[in-house]
Amino acid sequence: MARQKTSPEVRRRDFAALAFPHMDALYGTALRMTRRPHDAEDLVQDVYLRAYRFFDRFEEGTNFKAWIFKILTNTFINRYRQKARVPQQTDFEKVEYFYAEAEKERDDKYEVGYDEKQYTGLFGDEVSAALGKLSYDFRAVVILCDIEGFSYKEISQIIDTPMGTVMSRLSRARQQLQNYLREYAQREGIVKKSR
Amino acid sequence: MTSPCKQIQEQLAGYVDRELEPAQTNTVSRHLQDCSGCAEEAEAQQKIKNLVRTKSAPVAAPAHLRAQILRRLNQKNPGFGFWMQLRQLFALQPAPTLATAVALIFLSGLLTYFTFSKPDQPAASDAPFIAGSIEGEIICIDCNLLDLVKAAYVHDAAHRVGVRCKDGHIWSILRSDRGHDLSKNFRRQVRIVGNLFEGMQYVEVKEFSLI
Repeated sequence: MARQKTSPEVRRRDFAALAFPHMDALYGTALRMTRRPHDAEDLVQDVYLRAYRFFDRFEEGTNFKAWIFKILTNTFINRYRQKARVPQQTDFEKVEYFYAEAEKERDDKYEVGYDEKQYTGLFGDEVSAALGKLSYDFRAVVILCDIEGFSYKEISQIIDTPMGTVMSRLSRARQQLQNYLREYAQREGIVKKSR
Repeated sequence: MTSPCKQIQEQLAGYVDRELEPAQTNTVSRHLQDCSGCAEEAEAQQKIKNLVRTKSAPVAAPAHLRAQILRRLNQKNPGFGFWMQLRQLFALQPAPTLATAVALIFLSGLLTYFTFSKPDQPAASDAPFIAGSIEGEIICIDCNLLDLVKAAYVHDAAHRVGVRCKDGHIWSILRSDRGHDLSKNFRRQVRIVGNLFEGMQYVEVKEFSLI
């Protein structure tokens, strides 16, 4: 059931009570996706205005955090990746490894001027650099799962992707991270030196 | 890498995140006992997960962002909601909508005529907040709510500090330097001067004093 129509004051209050506690999480994720504080602020503002506009469609009693994160990922894609989007196909996952490299270049072109000074400190420097190297699809699942703590079911709703795909993307994303972090990981004793 | 290993590796994330069905978990567990390569890979998945989690410091949204969003939400037509609705209405029922629009234009002409004939009429404020002052006690909003619903624990509850007025209204404090100073006066009675966002029950603190 969608929400009942109420007075603007009640609607705003209900919305603020549900939405404002998630602002830090939304901003953190926006910053990790856009990698620029200014873009992250714009994005989060947009997300709140959109969420408020569509608040009547939010089904009471369901997961609000997942709902507003879905708006975040959709807004991000519309804004930064519209031109770069390719139609998803069933064999998409198989070519994703090769695609990831091409996408990374394109990401750089459309999305980010990697603003190192502002981005470092977000993660441990090396971890942040490694995460920044992942393609958007991979980075998104890692952020949603490992940083924001969403379940696979929630992630699959947020990014509109089957749960099996969420799992295989996460497996591969972490494998890629491990490759990027090999040196660092060896130093920290995370992987054995022989590998 | 043999084919079963390839299948297992696709599921390793689900295994370390405890997202697999019990039967799948058993299959992976059994495989990991026999295959040192995959076992090592599973361990690496877990460690990378932990690394990302522990090295990602929580980020706080800038204080002005909250205020900006509040201002825009409190404006009469945030975004273009009104125009969207009008457009949808026009698409559904063009004739009545058009008739209403014509009538509105006529009425607004009349209204303009009468408004200008009474030049002393004060204009309604467009500001999304009102400047004012409130008095009350600094409390923990979440603990207060827990008391109200007689719950011992609520998932997602934090310890956010707010102001409870004598009339029972609770105000959240907009994050700012002054608001931060204010929130340190737990359980004290305070008088606050600032901007009141009435729809949202947020107060932007300009100045405060203990009473």
